[in-house]
Amino acid sequence: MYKRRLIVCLSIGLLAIAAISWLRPPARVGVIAADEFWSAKTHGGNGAYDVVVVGDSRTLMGVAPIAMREHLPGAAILNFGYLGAGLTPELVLAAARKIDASSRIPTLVLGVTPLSLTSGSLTNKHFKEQAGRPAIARAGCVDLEPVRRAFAPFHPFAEATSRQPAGLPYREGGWLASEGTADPRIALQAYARLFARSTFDEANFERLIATLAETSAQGVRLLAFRHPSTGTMEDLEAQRSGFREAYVRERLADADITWLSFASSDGRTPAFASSDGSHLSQEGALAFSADLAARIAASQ
Amino acid sequence: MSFNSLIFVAFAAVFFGIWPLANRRDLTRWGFLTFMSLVFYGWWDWRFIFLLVASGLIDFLCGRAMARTSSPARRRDLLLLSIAGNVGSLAFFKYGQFVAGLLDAGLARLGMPVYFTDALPDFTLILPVGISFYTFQSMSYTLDVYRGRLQPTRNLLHFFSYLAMFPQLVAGPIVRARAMLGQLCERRVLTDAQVWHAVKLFGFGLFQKAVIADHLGAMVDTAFAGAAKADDALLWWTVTIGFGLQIYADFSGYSLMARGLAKGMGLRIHRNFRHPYLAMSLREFWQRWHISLSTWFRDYVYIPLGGSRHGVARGVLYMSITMVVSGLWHGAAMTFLVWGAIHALFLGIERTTGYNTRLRSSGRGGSALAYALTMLQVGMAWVVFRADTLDQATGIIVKMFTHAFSLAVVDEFPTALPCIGVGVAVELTVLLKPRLPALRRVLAHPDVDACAVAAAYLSAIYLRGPDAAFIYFQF
Repeated sequence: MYKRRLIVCLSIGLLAIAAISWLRPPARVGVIAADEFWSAKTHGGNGAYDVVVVGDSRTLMGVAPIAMREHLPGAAILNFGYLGAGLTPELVLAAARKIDASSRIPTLVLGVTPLSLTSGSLTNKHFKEQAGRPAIARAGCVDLEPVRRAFAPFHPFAEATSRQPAGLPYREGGWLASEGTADPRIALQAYARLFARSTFDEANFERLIATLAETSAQGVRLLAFRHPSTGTMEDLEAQRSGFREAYVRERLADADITWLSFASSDGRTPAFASSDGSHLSQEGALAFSADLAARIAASQ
Repeated sequence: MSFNSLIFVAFAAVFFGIWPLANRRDLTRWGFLTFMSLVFYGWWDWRFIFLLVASGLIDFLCGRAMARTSSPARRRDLLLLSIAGNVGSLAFFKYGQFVAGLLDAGLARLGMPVYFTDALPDFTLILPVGISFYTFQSMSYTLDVYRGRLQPTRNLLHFFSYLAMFPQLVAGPIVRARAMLGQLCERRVLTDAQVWHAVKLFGFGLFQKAVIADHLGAMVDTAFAGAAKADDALLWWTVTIGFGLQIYADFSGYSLMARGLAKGMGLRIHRNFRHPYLAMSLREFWQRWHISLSTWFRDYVYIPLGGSRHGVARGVLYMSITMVVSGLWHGAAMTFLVWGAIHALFLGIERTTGYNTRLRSSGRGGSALAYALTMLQVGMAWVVFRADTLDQATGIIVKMFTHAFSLAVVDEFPTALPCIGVGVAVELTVLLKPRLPALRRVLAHPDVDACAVAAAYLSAIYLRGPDAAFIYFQF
């Protein structure tokens, strides 16, 4: 009797899978799992993007490719941000490999933060951890993409839910949306401690400029911007990090890298909503990303 | 790896392909199960295999040493060593950052900027998956050996095949050694009925997790992240109900899948949930919710403290201690601690006043009120449990009772609402099944049963929500 149930169950299942494969509406891919998210971002899609934004956690949480599409229609955009990432030659080269050389607008955008140029960020632990994952561990995430797509979910409310900006934090295009809120004093204390241990690293910056020059020579357009944060955080960064924005901008301009300025006349960046005093909230990220995309488009 | 991942499908295919061969002898059964379980666990982070093995080795050796000595003092010392090893690793990895953060904040207020958090090694930032579950399993082994309720195993592989057994390793249920070690000594040949029940349990669990919990999770996360467009009372009532169903479907789903996988090996794991949202009182709720943890705390914390043997007042005190510890077991945050304290308070009121019993004996209206009050208390406590901070929890509860109602939530979360409907419908079916013979007959029909299981798997594939890790992994 139980064997019969197994047979009936299996038959219905296989018939339904066949019917759904034949009749199904286009697959909808929205929020994805953490493992898959990092594997796809780090190991997948080499040479597949028109615009890549590289940087640390402020890029990771603050740049939402989904909000950039309006100003960059048809462009494939990747957020190549990692937690605690330093803007090192290694990271920039990895980001550059994601760019489609035959793209109409091959663009690499540096999300600059004072922390990403300090000596303490050079280890790039998070990025290296992801880059060093064994092939077998990421096989299920990247190599089985066609299988994933064949069994991608759909539901009667697809159209309605696609309007939902939020949900779980791992999003398309490498964006990790901020979740919840935190006391901004915690971030300030943490940054103060980080800057007490390490400050702007001139030697790394020199190497970065040289790497960027090589990337530019390969036909990739280079842009840079400073991530917006809170006024208090910017004051702290100005006092403790050894980062001088004017100097960085000047050196980047010498290397033919276009600086996208978000600062108003008083030198402050506009207030995008922050979740914890350092990173942008989901709404802040969506608003900022749309603004960033408009500036990227205008700079062409 | 997670049960709802493609890589697990491959893992399960390999495991169940080889299991009938490995199952023939004790040593191959234990060795294969241990090896595959360590592969399963190491998939997240292989470094924490060493922690699992070290934690288990201490308990295995303590158990062996206890069996060799008749000195009560030495047995007690060995038990303390085992508890210190387990609680120590839990304290270091799970609560190290939390305690250091509290100390930092306290000293900073006193004008002494000392940062203990900086002194902690980086790896304490990562919580080893399932540490709360396997340390409790491991402790139950030495505690039962100490109490003479269990003969310690002589074989290390036998012990680790129990401790590291992959179905329940990372998110429970917490299986007692005395319930599993014996089962692992027998070669169990599966009947057709067992195979079917294994397939059914896994399918229903997968449905709960992938369809109900993951869709509701999207709504709950959006709302708690402050990203919902609406901000009225109805939204927060919906989100609270949604979270209550999400955490239930998530954890109950995992437990069902774990039971299904174990059944596929011929092993039996007890039920971890018995429809807790059908409970008429808080006491009953805790008899139905996360049963393996509740009974663990009852047997190894509440009863050793004194239980209800010393009068009502002491009983309430011991219960409160147990509930607060249980809250902290869920995570290193004030919200979990307060969640435990709230349950302790409500349970204390229920026990000392007896209001719930009186209401239920006063007729249908009283029973309905008792049920509503129970669910209200559970729901309010869930808000604290899920909130990022106590301030956020307070703000949400205030909104639930003071803000205006609007129907914006219907437009904003169109997927979540049908999921709440499905969850409620399933629970109602369970409630009505014993009272409606016709419904019972229909559900018991073999073809209906087969169709229901097929529908569960198909829904889990095609109607699944956004993938998310199981909530209880973080505990």
